[in-house]
Amino acid sequence: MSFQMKRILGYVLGFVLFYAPFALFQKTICYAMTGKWLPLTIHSLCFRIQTEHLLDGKLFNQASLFIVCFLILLAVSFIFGPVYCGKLCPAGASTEYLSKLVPEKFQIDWAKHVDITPIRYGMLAGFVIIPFFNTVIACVYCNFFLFDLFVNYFIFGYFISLTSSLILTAIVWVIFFGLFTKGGRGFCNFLCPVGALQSFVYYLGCKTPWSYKLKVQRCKCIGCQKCVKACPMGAMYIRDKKAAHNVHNCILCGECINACPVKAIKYKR
Amino acid sequence: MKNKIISFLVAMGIPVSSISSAGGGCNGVCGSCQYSCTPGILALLLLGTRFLYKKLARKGRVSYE
Repeated sequence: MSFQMKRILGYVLGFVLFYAPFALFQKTICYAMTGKWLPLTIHSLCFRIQTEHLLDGKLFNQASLFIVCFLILLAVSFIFGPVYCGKLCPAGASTEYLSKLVPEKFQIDWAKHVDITPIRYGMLAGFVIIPFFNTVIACVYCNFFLFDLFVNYFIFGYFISLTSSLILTAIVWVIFFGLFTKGGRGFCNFLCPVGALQSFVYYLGCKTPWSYKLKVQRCKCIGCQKCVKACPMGAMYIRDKKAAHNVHNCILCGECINACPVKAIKYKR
Repeated sequence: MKNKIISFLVAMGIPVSSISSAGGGCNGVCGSCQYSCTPGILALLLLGTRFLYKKLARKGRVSYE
């Protein structure tokens, strides 16, 4: 099976695991904890909603499922890196594949123009703060929610009305940061708090010897820049004529490993 | 470093700004906050236009040279 086919299958699996009407991941953990098979959606994993429950005192009644899922996400990110983003997240992958429809000359390569890392973590900090002010409006920034709406509408015919700000966010997500961004992952790079959190945990994990990480064997690297061109996140760059990667942006999709002609990039401990 | 801190704070301000719009009565439908979000949207548009203008100008200069 080709690398690209494996990637697509991974995203389909991600949809089945995390999104309604399946959401098998949440439902299985919920069943293991309560013995009930509940109709859960991606919202069961939402950080903002659960933080509100932390404030109104319902956290341990209603959100113990979220706590377990959240701890699993953190543990996986610490040991294996942001594999959820790179291997399973269908919301990020959808814009990545859509961006292939637009010629590269019309697309913005954000990594060349701005320092992505502080913006990425700034958005995460903002999302950590806002639940304490009970702002439901944060949902309009959420691409997971939008992806859930679109798929449920177009595939299953289940329609939830879109507000004007949701439509605006969809335009930013799909068109501006999707179609007209090199790699199609502008939303993942700048606006996704889940991805930023995983990257931060991955960064911490990289400092330990037992975690899996991307490694560039500089002695093997020929500086051909194929990995730089292949990376949808703009995380690969050339330093001293050799490839290097930014752990704060990398989502471990494996495109660079696949593109490297001399197999100088490995994912290992 | 200074630029990184500014970028961090500006980015943090994007979701945090939703606190004021929610206070203005925003429920996601345009007009519900009496357009109190207009200055923020104008600022974003201005920043975006400035960035694109700079990019186009640079492209134009390179092709001219």
